[in-house]
Amino acid sequence: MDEYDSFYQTSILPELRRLEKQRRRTVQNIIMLGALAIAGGLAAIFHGPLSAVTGWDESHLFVAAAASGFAAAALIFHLRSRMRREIKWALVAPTCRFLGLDYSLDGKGFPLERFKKARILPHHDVATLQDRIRGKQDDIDFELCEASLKRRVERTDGKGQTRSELRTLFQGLLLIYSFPKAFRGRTLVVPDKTWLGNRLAGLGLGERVRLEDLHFEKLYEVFSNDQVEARYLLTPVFMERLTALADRLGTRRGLSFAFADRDLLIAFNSGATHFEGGSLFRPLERPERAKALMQELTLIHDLIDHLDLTNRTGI
Amino acid sequence: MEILVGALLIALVVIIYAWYVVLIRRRNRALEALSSIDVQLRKRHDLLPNILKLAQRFMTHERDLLSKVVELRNEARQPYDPGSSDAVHRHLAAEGGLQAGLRQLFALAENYPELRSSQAVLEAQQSFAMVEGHISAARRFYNSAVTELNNAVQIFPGSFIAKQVGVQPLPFFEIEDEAVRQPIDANEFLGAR
Repeated sequence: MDEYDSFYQTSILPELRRLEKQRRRTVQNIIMLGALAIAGGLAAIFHGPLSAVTGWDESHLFVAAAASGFAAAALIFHLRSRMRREIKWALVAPTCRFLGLDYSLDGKGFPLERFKKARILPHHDVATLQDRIRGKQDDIDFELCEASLKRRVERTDGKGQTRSELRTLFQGLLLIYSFPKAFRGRTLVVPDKTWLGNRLAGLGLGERVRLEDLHFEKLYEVFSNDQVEARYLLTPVFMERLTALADRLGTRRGLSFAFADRDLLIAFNSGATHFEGGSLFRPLERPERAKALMQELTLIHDLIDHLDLTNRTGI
Repeated sequence: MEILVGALLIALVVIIYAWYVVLIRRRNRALEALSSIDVQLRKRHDLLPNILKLAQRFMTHERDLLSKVVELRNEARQPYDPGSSDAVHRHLAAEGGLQAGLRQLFALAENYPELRSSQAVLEAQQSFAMVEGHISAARRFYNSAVTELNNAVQIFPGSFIAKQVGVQPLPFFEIEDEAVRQPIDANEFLGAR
């Protein structure tokens, strides 16, 4: 950590200081545009009385107010995204480099298809990937990405009007670790969804595997196309590690695992964003940003240690 | 009245048939699990000659133990009738004996540094650790299938139907010796990773 402190002081902090001025300007612009967006929205809602007071044409007033409101909102979104990108380049990218990790801002090239094929992700219409990180610890190759998966849903209001909106089904991390044991089949560990839910969710996932660990059985449902291999992968000790991992991450239903193509795939639905580098509304030079980021990044290595993936004895 | 009696009889036949189906399915499942154990045990048997050859080269003072392991292997390789509970019990007990013998062999290997550092031994022990992991997994699958079969066979009316159709409970694949309960980790004994 001392090494990182010195790296932070020499390589990261000067860039963050330079960005701080830009951040302040951006925040000021966002506040101004926010006020404009609210004013535009209110004017669009109350365009009738406003037209009576000002004498302007009612429909023109509505269009102008709504358009300015939307434009302001779009600008806010643009400024916010641009500033976040800048912060990530200034803080997240060099921190990853320091840790020997390969970082890219977008999720281009991340094998999301593998997770879809393994069927540990909910059915979705829109997938947004960002923060792709790759690296190696001992002999274990790993790769992860932050993912947001949304499904388009139709909603009908009281007036019978149908609107389409996107509902977030998954927000969290997708991780891939090379697994030390050789295997050929496919084994899935998904959160338990009660008797009926398990039967419906398990359709097409393979045969159900009943395991001896009662605590594990309460939390998860295991499906596999090879009963022996599923037990070879999920030893009693490894099941304990998985349940302890769920406790450590504070999620009982948010973790799904798949053993596929020699890798362990983990879908961690944390409900939160990751590797953001802190709030836009706080000074960039605060060291808490770097500390929080380091904690998030250490999770990747902690997972290897916690699941004891480097252990080649097969126990 | 006759309709009621007829309906009851039909219901009884359906229940008995359903129970019969469950019994046969569970027996077949247990036999499938037993067969998967045999597949994994065969891998262990196939690895043994190589390991014994390497051990003979270095462990010259342990001829008795090596002969014993060979005997245990031959005993475990005897054909058996998977349909007979007693035969399955004897077969699994022989495998348990072989596993205990191997554990003893690996424990003694600790005293032979040359053996521990040999590249061929390192490779053999890696293969062996993997095979032992598969055997342990197959044993768990078998015991799980046997639990389901035995519950169906031993609880009335399953016990009555099982007797009529000749379905027997099967023995668990247990490791009696406490020290042998753990899967053999050759790395641990030969001091390498």
